[in-house]
Amino acid sequence: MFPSPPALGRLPLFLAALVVALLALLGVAFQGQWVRMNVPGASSPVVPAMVLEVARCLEREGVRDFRVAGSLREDAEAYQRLVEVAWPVEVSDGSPVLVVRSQELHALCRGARTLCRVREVTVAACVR
Amino acid sequence: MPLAFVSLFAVGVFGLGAWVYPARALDGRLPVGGLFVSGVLGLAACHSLVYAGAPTWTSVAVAIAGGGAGMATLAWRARASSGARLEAAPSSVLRAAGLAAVALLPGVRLLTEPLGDYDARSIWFFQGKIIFFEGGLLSNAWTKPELAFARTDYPKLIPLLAAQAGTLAGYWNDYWPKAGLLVLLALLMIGLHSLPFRTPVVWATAVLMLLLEDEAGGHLLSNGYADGYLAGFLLLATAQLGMFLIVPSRRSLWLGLASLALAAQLKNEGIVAASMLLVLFGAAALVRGQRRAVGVRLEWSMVIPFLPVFLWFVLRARLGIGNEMAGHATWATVRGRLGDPSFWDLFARHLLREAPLAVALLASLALAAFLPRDLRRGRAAGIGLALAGFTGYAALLAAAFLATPFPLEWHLQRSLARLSHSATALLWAALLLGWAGRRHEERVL
Repeated sequence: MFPSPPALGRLPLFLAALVVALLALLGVAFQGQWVRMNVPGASSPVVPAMVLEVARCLEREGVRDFRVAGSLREDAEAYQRLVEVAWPVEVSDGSPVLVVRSQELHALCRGARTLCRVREVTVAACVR
Repeated sequence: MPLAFVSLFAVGVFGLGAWVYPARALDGRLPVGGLFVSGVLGLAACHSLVYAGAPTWTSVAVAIAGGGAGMATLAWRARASSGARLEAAPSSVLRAAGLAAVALLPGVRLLTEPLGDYDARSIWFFQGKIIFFEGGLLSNAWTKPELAFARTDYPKLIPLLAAQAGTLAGYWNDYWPKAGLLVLLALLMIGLHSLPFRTPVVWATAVLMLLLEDEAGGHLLSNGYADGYLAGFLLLATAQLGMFLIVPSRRSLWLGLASLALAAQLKNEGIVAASMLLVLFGAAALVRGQRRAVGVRLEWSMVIPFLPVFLWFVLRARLGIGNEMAGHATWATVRGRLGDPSFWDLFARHLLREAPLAVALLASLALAAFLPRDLRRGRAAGIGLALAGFTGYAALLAAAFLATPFPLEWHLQRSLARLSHSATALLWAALLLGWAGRRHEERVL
């Protein structure tokens, strides 16, 4: 009723053995990567340390949204990385929480209450 | 464990489409082509659910639950329709083994390298992250002006696959979501397996796919960009639809349309290129009158692969998502550049710098020597489809850079290399139809 198996000789067996051997080799070669892959929130080395630390600060402080201003906002790469990494803490231009380079804090934030300071960047709650 | 879930999901996607894929389209041949179409239909089915407002986890659950049963259905239908010819021929196994070897490198890189390249992080996988955390596509995030850099108007095939991979793992990081692209890699390789050309030619085409890089040397099948897959699926679509114009068969029509639907789900350029190829193909098929000549009927189910594209346009209109680049483009910029020789000089120099495109151009010139003989054999429509597609895509590229609101040199440097790969793929399809298919079309189709 059903067709007889194809006459492929030992080819499938050979291919299966090859795949198993390759997977074993890859498992050994990429052991470190496998560990990182299974860590929730593990980030790529291309993400600047400042961005990671700001994102952690926002999460720790229970912030729901934030805005970026000044020269940090003009730095497209830093801004985009910050927005990507911080999500689901959303970027919103109406937020009272400001992420800004420390030297620009008082010019851009009225009644600043510093939440955390990360390298050259300050996260602060402003009066709007 | 997440890898097991992702694998289960991939199998589910391929099985899900089997519910709607007609057995007679297999044409009594080994169901590798059927597997490709089934995968495309499965993706369309589970992604349409999310476009229609269902949560991401629902689409994953439907794929897994419906997929296993669908796989069984596909196998049963294939046995019933193709009888004793179902078994794999050794040449088919050899072809699959070669393609698996080619896929190994991007496959390993997808699983082990973190997200690094710019657009992958800021566009595709950031959108995936939004979908993952929002639990679906219905979100006000897509219209936030603060997220304009993420090109939120782009189709969501890659972001959805990333979000589904994240949902399966239960968390988000910079590693796992890339595993979602394994589904596209598998589809690309299965699609290549289904090409009606000699095995070494198919392997060469797969290696060409492997060589596609972006401007920074990132490998486009594994760095999270859409461009490598766009080139691949446009190539598959053009080769299959071109072959339909030469030797019509339901199989090549299904495979061509399914590939085109995938290209249209990847990015905006894919939608334009797919629309252009559909119009060209429809016109060529009507002129040749093949629908009546061979009894290949259009089937309603051929629309299903395109369903996510239509649903995305509906959702875009409903949420009010606009195109940021189009909003900034002005006629004054286009007019100014159109008559400016320095624009064309810069554009041509950047375009010809791309090695794969230059090779394909040279090969096409060589092909032109054979064209008179091909025209006599009625192959002109197939080759013409690919060449017209190439011309149209090149015009589309030129139009995009004529209108770009960004600094021209910067924009060319940043994106022309990867965007030109789709043009290379269309030329390659012309070469396949004109040269590689020459001796084998009668035997294979």
